[in-house]
Amino acid sequence: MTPGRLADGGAWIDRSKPVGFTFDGAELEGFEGDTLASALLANGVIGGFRSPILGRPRGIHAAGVEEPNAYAEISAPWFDPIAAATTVPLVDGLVARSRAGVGRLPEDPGSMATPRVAHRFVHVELLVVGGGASGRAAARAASEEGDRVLLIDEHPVLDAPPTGSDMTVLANATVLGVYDDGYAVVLERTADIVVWHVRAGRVVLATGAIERPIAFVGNDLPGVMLAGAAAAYVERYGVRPGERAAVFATNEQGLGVAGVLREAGVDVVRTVDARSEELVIEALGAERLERILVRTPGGDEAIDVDLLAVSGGWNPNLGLWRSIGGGLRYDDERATFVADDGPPWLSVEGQAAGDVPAGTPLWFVEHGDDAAKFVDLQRDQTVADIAEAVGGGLRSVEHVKRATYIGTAVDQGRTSGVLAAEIVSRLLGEAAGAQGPSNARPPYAPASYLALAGPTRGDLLDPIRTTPMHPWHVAHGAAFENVGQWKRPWFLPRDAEPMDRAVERECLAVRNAVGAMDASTLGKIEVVGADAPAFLDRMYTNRMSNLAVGSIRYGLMLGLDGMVLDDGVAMRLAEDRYLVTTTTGGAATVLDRFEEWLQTEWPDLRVYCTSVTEQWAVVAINGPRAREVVSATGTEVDVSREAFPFMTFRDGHVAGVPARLARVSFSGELAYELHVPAWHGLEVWEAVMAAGEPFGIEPYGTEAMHVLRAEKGYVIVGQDTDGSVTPHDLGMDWIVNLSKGDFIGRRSLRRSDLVRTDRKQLVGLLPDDARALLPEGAQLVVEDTGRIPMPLAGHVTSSYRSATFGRSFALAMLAGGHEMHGRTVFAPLPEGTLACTVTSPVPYDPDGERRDG
Amino acid sequence: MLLVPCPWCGRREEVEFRYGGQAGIAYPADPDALSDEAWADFLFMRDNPKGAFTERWSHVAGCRRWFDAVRDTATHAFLPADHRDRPRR
Amino acid sequence: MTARSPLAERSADLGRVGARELAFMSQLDVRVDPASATTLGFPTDPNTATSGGRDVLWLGPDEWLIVGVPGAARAIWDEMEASLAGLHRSVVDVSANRAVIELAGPSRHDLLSSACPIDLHPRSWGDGRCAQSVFGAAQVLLHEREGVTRLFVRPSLADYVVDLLLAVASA
Repeated sequence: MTPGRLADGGAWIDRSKPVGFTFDGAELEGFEGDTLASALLANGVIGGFRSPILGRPRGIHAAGVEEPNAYAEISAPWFDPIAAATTVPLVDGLVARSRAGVGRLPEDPGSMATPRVAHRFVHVELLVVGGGASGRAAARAASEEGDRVLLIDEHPVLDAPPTGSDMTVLANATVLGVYDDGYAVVLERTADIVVWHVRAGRVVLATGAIERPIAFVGNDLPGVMLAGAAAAYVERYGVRPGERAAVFATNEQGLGVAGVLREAGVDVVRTVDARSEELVIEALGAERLERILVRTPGGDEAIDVDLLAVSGGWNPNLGLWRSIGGGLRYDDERATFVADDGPPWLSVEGQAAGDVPAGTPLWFVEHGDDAAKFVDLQRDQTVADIAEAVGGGLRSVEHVKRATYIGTAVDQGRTSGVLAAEIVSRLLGEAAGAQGPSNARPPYAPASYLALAGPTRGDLLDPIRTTPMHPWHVAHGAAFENVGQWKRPWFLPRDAEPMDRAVERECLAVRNAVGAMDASTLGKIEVVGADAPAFLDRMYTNRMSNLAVGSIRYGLMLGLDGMVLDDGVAMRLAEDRYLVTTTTGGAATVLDRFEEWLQTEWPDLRVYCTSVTEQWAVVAINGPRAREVVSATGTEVDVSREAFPFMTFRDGHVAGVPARLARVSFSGELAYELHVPAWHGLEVWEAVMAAGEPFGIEPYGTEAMHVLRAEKGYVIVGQDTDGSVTPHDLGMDWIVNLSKGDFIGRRSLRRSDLVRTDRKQLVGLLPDDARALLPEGAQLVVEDTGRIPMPLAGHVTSSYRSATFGRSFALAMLAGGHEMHGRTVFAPLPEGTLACTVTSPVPYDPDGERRDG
Repeated sequence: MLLVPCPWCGRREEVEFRYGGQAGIAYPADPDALSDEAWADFLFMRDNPKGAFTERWSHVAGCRRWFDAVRDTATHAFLPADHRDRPRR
Repeated sequence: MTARSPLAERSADLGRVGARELAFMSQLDVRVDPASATTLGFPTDPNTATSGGRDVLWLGPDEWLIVGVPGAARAIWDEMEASLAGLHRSVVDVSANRAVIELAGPSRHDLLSSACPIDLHPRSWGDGRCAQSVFGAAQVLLHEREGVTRLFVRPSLADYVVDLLLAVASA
């Protein structure tokens, strides 16, 4: 029998199951059901802890999550860098080490045993937080009404848990936070972890009350303990927290602990009743409590004790209540704060509702050095620290909190919050309860990132989206680029060639022979209805209503503010039917916009929109030999120049598969896009690559695609534009039809700010050093004086080495750029300033002959 | 996380929705007739009351319908639909 | 023609979570006013579905998804266009636009509830119910029919959904 263990008793322990554990190197014994703290007390260990900042000797102070002192690092059989010993369940082989302040990782983080983590959504009519008598009663009553009930308690054991058909009871479960509309996050921790996302119609907080200490000289010595905790150790764990004790209380229940201790064989030599003007004015001892000084109206006395059970009253545990907007009011009789108004779906029961003993208010004892009277044990903050803050002019509890950090430690002010607020009021000469304690914030108790992340980490942190041709790209060694959540082939190196060689090879293949690119990620929307033509006229800057059936037109979309939002092509499938494409990243946004305008502004327009982005896989074949490749792949469609002009489409088959063939070119070369149902995407891609082999077909990726379009001066929305660019800025007045009637963004185009001639405008840049590559994002200045500050005139948006031009080139946004062609501008860079000549952004095949081929 | 009351699907998690700002701002009938100041007012100026506020929401991950809802900007609580805008003190 | 369904390579993984892919299902997105839809027998109660030779799922007050056996898309399209002729409507073949996963077994709702916030308890969910929501970071459509749950998701996100199902099943 260990020195602190009683011969019998202890409702939560199983004496038939002894457990061995190690603490600070010492091998000790306890029972299943013990916490680390109760097992330490059973072995006569109450101290051995240190305060985080001052390094003062500290001991076990409480019995639950409100513990401010006894923190330990657990290294086996799981790893926890820092945990309150009062919450650590005792298991065989537990290895613990006292720890103060900040936890640390083991030397080899990979060696940490990690629990499995599951997340679950659950819906209930009632969530009850706290498995005490009032919580159980609320749960039972609701269950009898047919409600789904979830009852949770942070302890490993509930007395007489209720049962019911739709009743779930979770032990070892802590509410991390309660949020709007009855949403609660619950952390259930056994050998594994379950995080419950609870949606409750109603939430009942039966979270009990937390005992309040009293601040007096030496109140932080090991051996000074909350009275209720001392009783809990006896009743729950069959443990005697000391041999020779005194009880110091402001209320009947606190004083009653004396009886519990006596029955456990503790020699209770004195009760100190603050209601009768009796006070403990000092606690004395070297490494632990040895003696107290008691002052009564009759005089002072010194008493030798190794345990002082203290009760300064009870604070309803209302951190969760307050964090979601519940109010507090001060109760004079109980000398504490109780719940006032709160959200209609949230209520409090039992002790949390203020059912706590009445008592005389006593916050600190006015004797001796205020710097020795501790208020927040975890922050090592004393009455003197509060007095200093108040003396410095701080009036609000919230300001005192920021100045002293009281209430901000792991225990979130559970034992110090109300005490500190009352001391502030007292020092300011205000009435008790004039200010409430500062807010507690989620998480209510510490939770690891591992627990909160659940499955959402590693490869599952963000979805990876792939096209039907993806297996081919992977098998052929493609390097991938992230375009939003999509993985798109960036370049496809042969024989370990570096990126710039691969891109050069791919570009030359497209310009001189033929290349194929997977363009499946582009957004696609079917717009159907008698008013579809008029609708598209309103959404684009140019006219779509006069597009012939079978034809394709490029379009630009603006925001209401006149800035370029997205671009794409529209194909007219029928009088009342269009297929609209968008950028990869803009697909969802454009569809949302279409629906927003149709539903909220133009409900009378007969238009329906349907997303078909992933219905179609798209193979883009670009290059002078593109026509031959399409023929060789096999199609009944007449692909000759005469029968199938540029910017038209034909429905038919390719490689035996239903297909829409479209003559659209982003490279400036002769080009065909094959749109096929996505199930056939891979087989058609493979058929194209096989048919194209005699013609020297090369697969190409997004980097080559970017270079090729830039050589044509085609902008990429989101690369060359950033939401602050108008069509005029881009030199695209040709696509803005001001005479067709109103369209989104039209009015804004004549705002004074949008017609300034010094706005940034799209230009081409040719570095004087044809081999120098301007970094994308490089800032531009018009004078090379080196004087700082330099007025910034613009920036580089796209920059490439061009195999076609045999030199480097760039696109940029430059103030007044339309009038700057031929001028020299400068890019100051860390390695030196690059001079560039400003040009038009359309250098390659300006008459479009190759594209129209 | 809010529970947003979609008139079609009932109360659903906020993650299924997109917020659309102040409700009741109609697209002007004749934008050309507005001065730059008046146009800018339509584009950019929105009320920001403490208390009841009528807002637009779109159930983008659900039925994709746009709807108006009244919400208390201080307590976050959605209010019954016929609650008139009454800013708090 | 060698068509390839989005989860062709994942049947073993799907089996591990009591699921399988329903490949190449016919899917048509039909939009028309609710009154006309009623005459066709389409479900007008939100988030409900009818089943028969083909299923019709409510997606919105004027939008339904018709789900049929593989190969039937063209016939359904023709039938819808004929039934709705003269009306303002949209009928679009979206058969390849969503992958279809069928989950079976008594723990399928617990599995889905690991990453989907829809209330799948029997008092809120059962045969004939459907719902659009999220599963993790993916938008999904759920349909409960005859003791199984169908999950519809964009093909590009189908692998992610399977990976997430595997992760939550082993947690």
